[in-house]
Amino acid sequence: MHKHFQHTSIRRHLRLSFISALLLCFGFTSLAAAQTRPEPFRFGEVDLEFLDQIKQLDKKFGDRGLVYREPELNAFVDRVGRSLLKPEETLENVVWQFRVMRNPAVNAFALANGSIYVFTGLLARVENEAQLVGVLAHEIIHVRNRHSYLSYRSYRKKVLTVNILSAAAGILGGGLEVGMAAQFMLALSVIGYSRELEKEADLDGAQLMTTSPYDPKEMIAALDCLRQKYEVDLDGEPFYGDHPKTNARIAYLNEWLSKSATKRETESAGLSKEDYQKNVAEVTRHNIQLAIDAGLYRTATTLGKRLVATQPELASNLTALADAYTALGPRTLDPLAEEKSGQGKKEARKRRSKLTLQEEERTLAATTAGQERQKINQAEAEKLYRRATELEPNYPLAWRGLGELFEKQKQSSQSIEAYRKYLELQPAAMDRLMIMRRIKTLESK
Amino acid sequence: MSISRSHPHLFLSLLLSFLLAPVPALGQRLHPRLKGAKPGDANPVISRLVILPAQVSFVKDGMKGNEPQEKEAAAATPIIEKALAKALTSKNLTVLDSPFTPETLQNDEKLKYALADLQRNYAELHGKIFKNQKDVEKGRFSLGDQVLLLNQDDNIDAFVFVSASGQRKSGGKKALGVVMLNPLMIVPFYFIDIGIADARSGEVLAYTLTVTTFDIGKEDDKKLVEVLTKCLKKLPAGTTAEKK
Repeated sequence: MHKHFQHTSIRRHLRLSFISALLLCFGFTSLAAAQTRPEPFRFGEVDLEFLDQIKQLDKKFGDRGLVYREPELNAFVDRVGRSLLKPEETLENVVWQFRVMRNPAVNAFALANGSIYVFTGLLARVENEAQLVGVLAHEIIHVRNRHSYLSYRSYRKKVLTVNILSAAAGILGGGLEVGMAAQFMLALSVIGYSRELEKEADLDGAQLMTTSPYDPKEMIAALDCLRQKYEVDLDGEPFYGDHPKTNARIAYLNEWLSKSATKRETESAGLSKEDYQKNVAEVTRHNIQLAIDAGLYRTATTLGKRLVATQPELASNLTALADAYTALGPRTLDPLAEEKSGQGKKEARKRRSKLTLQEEERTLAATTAGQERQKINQAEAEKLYRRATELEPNYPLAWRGLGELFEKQKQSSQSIEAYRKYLELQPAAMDRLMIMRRIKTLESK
Repeated sequence: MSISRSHPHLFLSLLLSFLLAPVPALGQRLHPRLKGAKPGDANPVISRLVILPAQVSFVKDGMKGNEPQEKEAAAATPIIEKALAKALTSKNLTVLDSPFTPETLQNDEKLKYALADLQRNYAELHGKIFKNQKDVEKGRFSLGDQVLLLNQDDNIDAFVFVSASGQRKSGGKKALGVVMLNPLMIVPFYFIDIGIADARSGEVLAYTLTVTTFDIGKEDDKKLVEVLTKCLKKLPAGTTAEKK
């Protein structure tokens, strides 16, 4: 008994020692990573291999249709991005490219090779050019300060430490606890390190903006704008997220601004909301369709309303908003209080994990309240489509939208008529066969 | 003291390896329309198929963590697509030349977007299919008639979605696995996931998932074709594969 106690006690002591060793190792490696950042950055073999893989990934995005191509918009984003770069500045293994990713999420990221991706969802969300510059400045700093390489190096060092300690624990009897503790420490330390880098990207990015015609305050405005949520937030901000929380980011940027920002002699550039909206109108319409496909109906509708507010006499804008209202179907534009409650979120999460988008739609539309809302949204959509066809009678997408709306309302003859008009205006449409089949089905009813 | 209590991680690893290793396919689910089909049917439900670009991702699990393997995944993509074509052809199904070659897509941005959107919609639906595989047999899942955007000549019966992912092991990791008696650190794993959808209605007609331990990115695809043929075993055979 005593022997067993002694044995257990030694094992416990060993485990505790391993966990303490882990803490120390992670402390030292994090400290080392933070303090011994090589200046200037020197490429090692591992970095070059990493770069090769990144280039392949970059190519894949383009090959797979994930990159949005619209010459005017691409030129606009490129011009805005390059306004932050010095013409004479060259950076080893970096070719600056500013690209747009077809994705309705509000996001942007930078690859180590200098490709910076802004999502269509973010372009459609920020309010002016200067806010976009704020986002790009943050991403440029990630590339310029070689954050991807540093993160990757740090991650590799830490995993190696974990593996060596796990092996030692395996041999000497540290047990499962040590392995689990090591994995947990690894996750925390990697995130902690990247949060530091994110903060650096924010602060250096704001500094970079001071050298451009844009006001760094707009970086804060961008953060403020991007944290607005149009959908019910089912995920929340995870505690293990790699970015500092938005409130904290705004706070330290404000603090930095109060200490460092110099007074501008000329007026800041890129503040016009209207000009920006016009520049991103087409990509916003594209993003509305992507948002609808992704089930982000409220986002789609809110963005559509913004488009129409800027250019209310444009058939394409009216049609995009009408499409969003049709898709909004049995939902309200703003989430209801019950949807935002804990129980409401729980039910929504359950629905999203179990049901397909079509099934979810049917479930919501089966309730009396859902039917009422659907009627209201469909009426709004019809009004907008009609207005679009009045303004531009030959705008095909408005007719297609009307066809779809009437089909949903089971008004077959009106749907067929609208679909036919669409095909008449766009006989070589890509979805020709799809529409023809729909007409055939409606005719057989 | 039992091994499950003294060495739970080792026990779990062994159990997992035991469960996974001998299983060539983790599930083969067919839509009622395919289930009711008889081999050599005069009007088969599917006869002419197009394999959509495979989504392949590999990582190398080493002593210093996971390394991306984008280049290796890109090299393995055509190998997997060809092996799948061989497996389908062996069932007397006609695999049409893909209209979505990199060259075609390069010149047609709209087609590229339509393909990307369809693959994204499938990936979204896949989460539900994976969790409720049996529901494929109830005909629950559909991509909608949007599939017709990629079937403009109406000559395709079904699209084949394929994704493969794998974790290769470095020498160091294997050595660590030996030291720690952990087979999961030694043996590489590859998952291949295949979905077949009606190219007119969008209904998901078949779904299968398989796991293997051999390198699926190898030029010599004999083993891979064997595994794929096995995991498509329940798929009704066609009459005679057409010559394209």
